[in-house]
Amino acid sequence: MSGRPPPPVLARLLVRVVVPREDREFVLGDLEEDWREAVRERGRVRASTRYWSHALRTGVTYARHRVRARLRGAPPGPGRSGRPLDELQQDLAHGVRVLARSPGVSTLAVVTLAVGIGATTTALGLADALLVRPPAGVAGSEALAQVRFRAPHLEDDETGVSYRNVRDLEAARLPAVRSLVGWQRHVFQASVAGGPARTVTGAAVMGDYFGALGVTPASGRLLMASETGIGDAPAMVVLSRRGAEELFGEAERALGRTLELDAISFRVVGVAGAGFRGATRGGDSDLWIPFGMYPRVRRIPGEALAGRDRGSLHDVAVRMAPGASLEEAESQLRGAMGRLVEAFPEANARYEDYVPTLFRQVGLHPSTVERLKTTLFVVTAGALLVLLASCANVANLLIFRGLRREGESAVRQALGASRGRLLRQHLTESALLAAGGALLGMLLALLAQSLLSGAALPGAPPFEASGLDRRFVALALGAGAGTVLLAGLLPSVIVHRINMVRALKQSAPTATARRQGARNTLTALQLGLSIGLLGAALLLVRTHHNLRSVPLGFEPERVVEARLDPEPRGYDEAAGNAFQRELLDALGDAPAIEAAAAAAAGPLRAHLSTDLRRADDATEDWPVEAREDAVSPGYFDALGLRLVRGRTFSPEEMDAGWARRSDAAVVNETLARRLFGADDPVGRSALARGYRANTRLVVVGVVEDSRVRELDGPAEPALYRPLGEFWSNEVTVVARPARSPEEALVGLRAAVDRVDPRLPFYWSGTLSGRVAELTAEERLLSGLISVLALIAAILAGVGLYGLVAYTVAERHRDIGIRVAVGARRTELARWVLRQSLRAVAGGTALGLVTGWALTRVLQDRLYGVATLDPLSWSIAALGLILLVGAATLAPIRSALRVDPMEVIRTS
Amino acid sequence: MYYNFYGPTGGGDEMATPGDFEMLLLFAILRLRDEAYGAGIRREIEERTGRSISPGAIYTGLDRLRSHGYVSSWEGDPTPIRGGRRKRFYRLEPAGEAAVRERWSELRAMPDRRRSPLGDLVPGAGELE
Repeated sequence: MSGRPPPPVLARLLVRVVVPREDREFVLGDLEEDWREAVRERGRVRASTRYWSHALRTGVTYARHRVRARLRGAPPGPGRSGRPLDELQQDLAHGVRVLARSPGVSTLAVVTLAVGIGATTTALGLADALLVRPPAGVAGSEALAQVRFRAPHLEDDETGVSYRNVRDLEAARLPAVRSLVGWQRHVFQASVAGGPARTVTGAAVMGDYFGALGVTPASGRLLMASETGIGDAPAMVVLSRRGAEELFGEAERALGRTLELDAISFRVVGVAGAGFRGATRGGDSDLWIPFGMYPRVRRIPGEALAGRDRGSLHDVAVRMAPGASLEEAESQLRGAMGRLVEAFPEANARYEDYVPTLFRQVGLHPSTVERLKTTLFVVTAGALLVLLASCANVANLLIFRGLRREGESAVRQALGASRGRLLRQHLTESALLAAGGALLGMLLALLAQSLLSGAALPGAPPFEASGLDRRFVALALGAGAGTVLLAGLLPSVIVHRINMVRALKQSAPTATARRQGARNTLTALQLGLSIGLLGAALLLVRTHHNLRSVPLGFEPERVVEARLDPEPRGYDEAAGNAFQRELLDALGDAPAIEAAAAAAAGPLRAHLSTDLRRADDATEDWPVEAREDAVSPGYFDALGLRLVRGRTFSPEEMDAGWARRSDAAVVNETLARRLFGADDPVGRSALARGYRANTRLVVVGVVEDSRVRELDGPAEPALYRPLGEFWSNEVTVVARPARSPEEALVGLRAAVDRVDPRLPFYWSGTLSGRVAELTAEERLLSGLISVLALIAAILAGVGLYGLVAYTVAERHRDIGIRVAVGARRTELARWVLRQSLRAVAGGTALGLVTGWALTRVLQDRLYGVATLDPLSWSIAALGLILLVGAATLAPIRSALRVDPMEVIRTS
Repeated sequence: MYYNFYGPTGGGDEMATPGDFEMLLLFAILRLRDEAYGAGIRREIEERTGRSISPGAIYTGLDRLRSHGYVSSWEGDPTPIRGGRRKRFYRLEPAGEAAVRERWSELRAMPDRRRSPLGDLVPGAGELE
């Protein structure tokens, strides 16, 4: 590193590509010299602009230079043919000349290919970023695997594993396992030197965490295996570069400083390098502490996590020994776990069912990987269909041009050019087009990336634009190479089937018919693909719309919420209860709020599942499963939920709740109906088995239904209990704004500040935000497929237009004669429309097949709409009709304008 | 006549006399003497004429001049300010010197010093010489 900024990489790359080798060094040197001077005199930004401008102009100059040289170029002389390199040069030169001769067609072809290549590169880039690329800063990911403890015969149910078992497994020194590490994610409240606290996601790590993941320090050092164990772990913390910058301003200033994490002092010993932010793909961890410190952070005794049956690590990874396979490592780990079950049958009883299961993908939960795979498969398939459509379009264009050049080909053949040579020339042309398409496509993909960046799928990290890196370029070039074959080979074969003699004789009815057939097929292919995509897009748009307009029971934009976690600030259960009571008082007179309340989970978050049965039910069955939440009395009012019967919790019931002695319950209509049928449920008793074993409840009120956890699916039974009845360290405050949601959030913050200003909000906003989060995947998927469908439709329209317009132009004389003998305008229009008929019919048939295939894949992704939804497919059909109309309008008009006199004169 | 991929490399008569831009290059090389390399030539022309010129134009122009024997080139040592890249220096060959001389006398021959139409167009044109 010279300490000076290097010139823009992309511009340099451009120069490298366009400037011939003998001049390259000198041009680059000149540019760099100029760049340094410009940086010194005018600053980096203007120097970059200047560099780019020079690079682009240099590119144009050299390109023009080459083309001119070639256009002047003499035909291959004797003694020079037969050398493959020379032939390649000739082919290239010939290609450039041919493409330059019809700039309109060439530009159209390049743009069309660019759209297809851009779409494919974007889709594959998305898949690469979300599924393939290893997490940043992790080295040697091919030897890493994640370890999940799964029960194959219990639908792959999953459980965690204790710290102790992981240690024992590693101590077994299995030949296929080099190291075994685990980590526990935790959201810390971090503050520097008594400053304000901010929430920072991090992890407590065990074993040789950094070593196993191949992480290197940017400065200082990382935690060693000997420091992470339970026992006497040092209060040390390693920060990510980003974390260090956010907490200390500069990463370099963090080393040796003290950081308060959940009110415990830690010393910063190092900063992780290479953008490492945890073993999760696109991870969000910014600090790592020894696992041994985790009990202190959680305020629990160390033994609580040290026992074999205690604690549960879900995130475990293995670095396999060199040369060891995933299967070997898995079977050895299973064997070792089996021995641990035999040695400690009681503590390890559950691992008889739950066995170590290895997954190649590090960084994402296997179930997320599965779901992402479908989504990304659909998007990639859609993009490939667009690529196929654009290839078909270009193939069509090339056949069209090939037809116009059939004389040239025939002459060349007559002069002794071999068929293979002519074919190669054609392929060279399409390679040139594809290269142009790939370059432009890369630009389009970069644009798409920047539009997509930040979009997140649930469970997956937000997509980050990769920029123009090696993998990205490789993807674009790969897509480009595919198009050479698809768009180049077919037209070459078709055009070169021309019988030389027949072509020279200028009468080739059969060849014309065959080519017309090929063009029809290609156009049908495009139409079919676009109809299929259009239908699929509409189904997805309707799914998204349905999910967004699911009646929630409350108006999401009229409710704001904020989540708090007092536990890391040292609140235990008793102090937490006191905090919640004070908070409720403070909320009572918070400004800008009409009604406010608190809940353990809150709207759309109730994950706790409770089994219920009527108290007078003699059977031992638990017929109803409900979602349970603990709420304050004003909860229903704050959400705008109507009480159908009875009442909400009384102050006495709330007080009893804080002491865990309340039996009061409010149920929603669905739960009331499931438990008590048509009877009035108020005053009736039920038994509950959930958070606590067998509790007797008395229903005091019935509230109208609302969605409590998921957006789709049948109505969910819901059980509400007084807020004190269960202690989950987190609490959600909800409020109905008096005026704007923003003011209400300020009011909420003010109320919390009155109780404890140190507590940050984890999440705050209107419930619409939460709904948007729950439907993010559908939104992204429907958006992407819609864009692809639109592109495919435009391509198909252009293709159809080309087909019909060409036919009309070709049959110019025919039309003139028809007009001369008295054909009416409607007859002519019908004749033109008929030209597109075969393509349209074929396209429709193919569209049905494509649509069917796509909806098969999409089936589980649809909500509230059938795969054969009549509305969606009718709209797709209507789209097809409009497309055909738009594409044939101009050819019809030009057919109507044919002047019979002129035709007769010229023929 | 023989063509390589990037242009004429010898013989031919496309450039019987250098064009305007090539003349500028020749003049710049003449002025710069030992410091006549790509970036220097470009700076010289830009500063004197106020025209903005791309490095590509300099090199393709110089390439044409070289292929017709007007100039020759040699390579210098790498310098750190160029990112460790070498410079390519140019000097005029007899043909180049002749071209400069010829163009110069042509230009000088045209203005009429007694009633110069150029005098209105170009301030100081009367003082050519």
